Amino acid sequence: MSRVQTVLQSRNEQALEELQWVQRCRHGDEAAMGALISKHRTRLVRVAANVLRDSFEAEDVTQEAFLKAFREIHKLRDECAFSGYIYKICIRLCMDRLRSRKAESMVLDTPEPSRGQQIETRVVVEDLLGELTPELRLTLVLREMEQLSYEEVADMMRVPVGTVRSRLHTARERFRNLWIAATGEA
Amino acid sequence: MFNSCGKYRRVKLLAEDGRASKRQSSFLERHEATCEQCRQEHALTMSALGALRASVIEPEPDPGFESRFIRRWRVESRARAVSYWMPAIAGAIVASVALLAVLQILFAAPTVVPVDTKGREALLPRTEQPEIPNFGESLTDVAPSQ
Repeated sequence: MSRVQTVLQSRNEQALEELQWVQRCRHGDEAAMGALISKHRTRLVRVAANVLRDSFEAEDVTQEAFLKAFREIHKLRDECAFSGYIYKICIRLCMDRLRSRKAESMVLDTPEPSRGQQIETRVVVEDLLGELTPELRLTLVLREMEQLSYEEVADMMRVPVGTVRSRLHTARERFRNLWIAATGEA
Repeated sequence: MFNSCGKYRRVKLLAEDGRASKRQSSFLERHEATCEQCRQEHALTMSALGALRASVIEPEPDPGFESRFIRRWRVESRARAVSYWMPAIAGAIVASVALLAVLQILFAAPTVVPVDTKGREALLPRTEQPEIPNFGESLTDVAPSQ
């Protein structure tokens, strides 16, 4: 058996396994929920942390995303699409948090003083991301940090690809100008 | 040069989206080689985006995540079950109270006055008013005369 065939077979097995977990989740099986959580958790926490720039809030949002996903799992028509389904829920919850946070003052993670330059850059980046609107910020993070394609970003944010292009352009330009103003590069 | 810079910015957008052709890409390179301003702008953009990409957060996996989630799920499920059955429970309580009231009315002991021949007179309504004694005369008799 060739390597490609082995990979394909392994992927099919994984998909089948996930399908079974989703079906069991519909009946409230907690073991199946645990299996789905351990499969998708890392990616979700990572994206939420990068969007919100707060690890604790990211964990909270991820838990909320799983709660919402399992609560409304009967709405999931294609049982194989759980991954995209949970990812979209998480992105939307992050967006809601950003919008509600916009009214309040931005709270940043307190940096550890020992890591020096890297931490300093991170703090500046976090500060600058806070200056962008939630839509621009999310588009920039999903594209530049999460390396999603334009189509994937559009699907996640429920907007046309053209909107993603224009938002991304605006976000890059605004971020660059803010970066110049903050670091004094020019 | 100004028109060339305008074209550079337009083509740059395509290149950022990965839609620039080979010819357009070579135009960008040629322009950057000759135009100091655009080259600097490009370098700043790269520097800013580089900083952004470098500050990706890689959170440590929390071992207690799943157990915390399951606890939260159970609490929420219970709350949801209660709120789901609450209207039915309230309706059942109202219905049973109403039923009890009806049964009370239908089967309660009658409050009719027992017939007692001896004390019958006392129970009958009085039609005659009792006589009021007239003390007027006796008072005039007693009053001192002047």
